[in-house]
Amino acid sequence: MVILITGTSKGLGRYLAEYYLKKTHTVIGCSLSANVIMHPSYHHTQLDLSNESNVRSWVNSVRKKFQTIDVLICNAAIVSSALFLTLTPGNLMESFLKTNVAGVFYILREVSKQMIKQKRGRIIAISSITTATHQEGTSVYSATKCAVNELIKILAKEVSSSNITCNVIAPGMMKTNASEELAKKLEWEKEMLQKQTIQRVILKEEVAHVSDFLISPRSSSITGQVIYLGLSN
Amino acid sequence: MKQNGINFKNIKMNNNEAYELIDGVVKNLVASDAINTIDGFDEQTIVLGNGSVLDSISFITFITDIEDKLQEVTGKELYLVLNEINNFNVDNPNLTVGGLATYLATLSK
Repeated sequence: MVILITGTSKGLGRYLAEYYLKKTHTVIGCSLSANVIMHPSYHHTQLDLSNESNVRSWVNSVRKKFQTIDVLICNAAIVSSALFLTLTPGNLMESFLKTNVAGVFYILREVSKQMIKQKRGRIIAISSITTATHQEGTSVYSATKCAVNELIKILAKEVSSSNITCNVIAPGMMKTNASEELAKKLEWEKEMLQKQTIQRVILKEEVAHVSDFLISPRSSSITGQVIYLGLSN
Repeated sequence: MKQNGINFKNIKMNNNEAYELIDGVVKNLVASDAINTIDGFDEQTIVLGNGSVLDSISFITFITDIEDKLQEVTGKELYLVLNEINNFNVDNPNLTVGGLATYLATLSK
């Protein structure tokens, strides 16, 4: 399969890219920074996903080179230190909207066009349980992740007739660069875990397991779902 | 470069060439069963809006193919932006082949 993953330079994105490379898939990745994955089946582009024309050109070049995009995993997102809404600068809020919402929107739009043409596809977006736990200090981050959940749920309906499924994986507390950034303030990690039903760190392997489940041919009727890891619904 | 019976000697298209490009895309889509045959296809045919001959998903495929063909013909990455099309707005929410051809011709310049 040809699997396109955004945000592959670190954290969960890098893990998923290496995970699917080990499973002998072709992985196309992107990140703001340079390539860190050296593998013959890995194809990296340094890219700012909030730049509409760059995303269009990139997806255009991918579909011309590979002819197909079987799976899209929208993972790239920015996180900054936990900050109460009343203290959040406007430019920080705008940068979150650009990367976490506009960036996801552009990639969803361009890849789903290709998937509609090929009449099949699997789209997965990585969100967070903060959309359900309403964790203090995550107002802007959670708002952007709520937007992602909604983009996916609506896209799921719009493209269902083309055999494309769209789902969200919303993990609880994970050990990534992003969560470490959030944990810098407010004893965030401890508070986050207390709000989870399963009060432990969620492993990247567990996210990969759900991803495998969603891209399985047997999951073709599962769409528009938000699957929480570590939290009861 | 020859496309759909027309010689494109430069990267600019006139309305007739743009219409031929659209016609060629439609014929390819019909041939590949991506869309149904369109009876009486001409400049007045509505491709988006009330009475459209294409459903939403077919329209996306149609637009994607037009963008691909535009790139092939003009050698440039050109993308259609619906709200930039003249005479396609809330007061006139029907996009015709003729209106689209005019827009493509403008876009290629």
